[in-house]
Amino acid sequence: MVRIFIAAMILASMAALAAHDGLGGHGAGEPKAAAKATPRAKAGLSVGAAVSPDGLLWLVGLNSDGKLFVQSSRDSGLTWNETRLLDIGGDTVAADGENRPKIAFGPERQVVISYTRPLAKPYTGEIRMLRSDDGGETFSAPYTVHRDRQLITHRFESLAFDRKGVLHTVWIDKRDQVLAARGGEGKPSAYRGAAIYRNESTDGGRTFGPDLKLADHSCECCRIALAPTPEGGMAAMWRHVFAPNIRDHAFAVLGAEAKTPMRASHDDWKLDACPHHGPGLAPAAQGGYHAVWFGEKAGRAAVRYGRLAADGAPLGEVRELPDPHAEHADVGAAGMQVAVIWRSFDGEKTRLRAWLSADAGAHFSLRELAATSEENDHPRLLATPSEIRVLWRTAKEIHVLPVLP
Amino acid sequence: MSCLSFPERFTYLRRLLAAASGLLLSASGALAAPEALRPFAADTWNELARAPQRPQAVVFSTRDCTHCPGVIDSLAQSIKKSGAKARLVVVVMDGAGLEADLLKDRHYRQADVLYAFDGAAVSLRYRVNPGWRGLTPYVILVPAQGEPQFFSGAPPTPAVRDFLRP
Repeated sequence: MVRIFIAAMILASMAALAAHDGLGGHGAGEPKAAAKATPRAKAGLSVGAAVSPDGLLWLVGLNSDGKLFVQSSRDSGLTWNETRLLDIGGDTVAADGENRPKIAFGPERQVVISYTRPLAKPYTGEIRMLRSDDGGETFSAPYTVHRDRQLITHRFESLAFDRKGVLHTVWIDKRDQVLAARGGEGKPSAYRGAAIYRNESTDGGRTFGPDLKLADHSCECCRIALAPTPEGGMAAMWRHVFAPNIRDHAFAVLGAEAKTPMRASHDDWKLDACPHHGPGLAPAAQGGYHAVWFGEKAGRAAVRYGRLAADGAPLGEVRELPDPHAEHADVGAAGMQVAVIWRSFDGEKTRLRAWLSADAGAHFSLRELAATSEENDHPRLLATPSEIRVLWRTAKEIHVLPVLP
Repeated sequence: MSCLSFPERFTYLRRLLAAASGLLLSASGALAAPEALRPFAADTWNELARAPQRPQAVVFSTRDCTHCPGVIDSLAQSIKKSGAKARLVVVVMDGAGLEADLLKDRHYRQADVLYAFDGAAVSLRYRVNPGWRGLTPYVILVPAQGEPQFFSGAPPTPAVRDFLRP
């Protein structure tokens, strides 16, 4: 036994020496890259942006040290003020891909900034918010938006003020999965996906109404799209898990939701996985909505564009974007003009592309707006009363480009 | 050894003990947990996929992927039950800089090798498969001979069975 142990130690010494010499410790087939140092933590590039009632373009994100900052521009992104760090105590902020900080403006100089704070347990989080009553000159300390305080998923929030000044916050929530696991078969799989919850604030984020369930069985890891309704309210579209495991999209008007949400896409994508790819939604001038989403239909993965009726039901033809590598698309509209933007990687560069229509989505033309070899965020559209711009953050710069009119 | 500074000596001894315990665990038939988080860089996929000496089940995961732990568990169990000399490789796409946390995670500890993306995710994904849009878990079964098979989500049982067949 002693001989075996000594032999093991000799072999171990050889293995350790090999590792010390950068030869790799897991056999000859080990990639050379493994000899490099462990990567350092880096802040995500994902940002939120919005235009204030007085026309300033605001940006919220994480700087290279992982600190939450705001920044504003008076000339639509040509020049920017100095970044201003926000005091969020010891919070960490999720800012990666579909999870990003957001900013929204109320009618009476209110500004709210939200983010997801990851908690100690995997897949858990809280929706946090900072509020300003003076147009963003000062901000409150962060606070939690929802009443439920379990150590579970409350993530992927979206927020917007409606025309009446009501602040809507919508998020993905797993309290029902926890309940199902306790009362059902004792497993999280007793409940399909997560749920969409929401609340309302009528005082600019100072106080909130109760947590309200919008829908059972949402996908767990995709952003939620919000768009104003013609009546002045707010509509939501999200990736849903229709029975048994179909990850298509659902639609509901907040405050007027039916018992079951409207199915807004019919890709019939059967999948037990996380697409990390939420939809985009914009009101259409002729009624209803323009929508974009990613999915796999009959084995073909694509970002698709379609029109939705006022109740979210699909309307007319669904079209694939003219780019097989399109991802993380957004849609915006100004009157009869429609813009769909996305990013696309060709193996060398990520390209920012737009599909533009002057006839409410009947016909589109393709344009390339920018390209980068740097790491980059998902692009997003910003609507102002007079124009629509696309904002795209790369590792070195922030592109703000006009797309409409 | 004599030319090493004190921290280097400490690291050396840590590796020595880890390697020794790994050997003892291997001798007893138990899986050894990964000792470090390795960077998954631009060339890593090509090197992993290029005629490995052992078959490899590679799982691309993210920290917010609720389906990933189950797929990692299932593949780890299948490999163990089969007695095949296959290797379980897990790549945590958003795990850079989180070595301490990830190495404590019971799911990730089932991997023989644990990586985190080191570089632009969109570029690293493209190198693995241009058609992959970031969905997780993304599973690739790399046989010792033959072409890798790509799966969105859990691979079907027959595919895993064929992959692990001697």
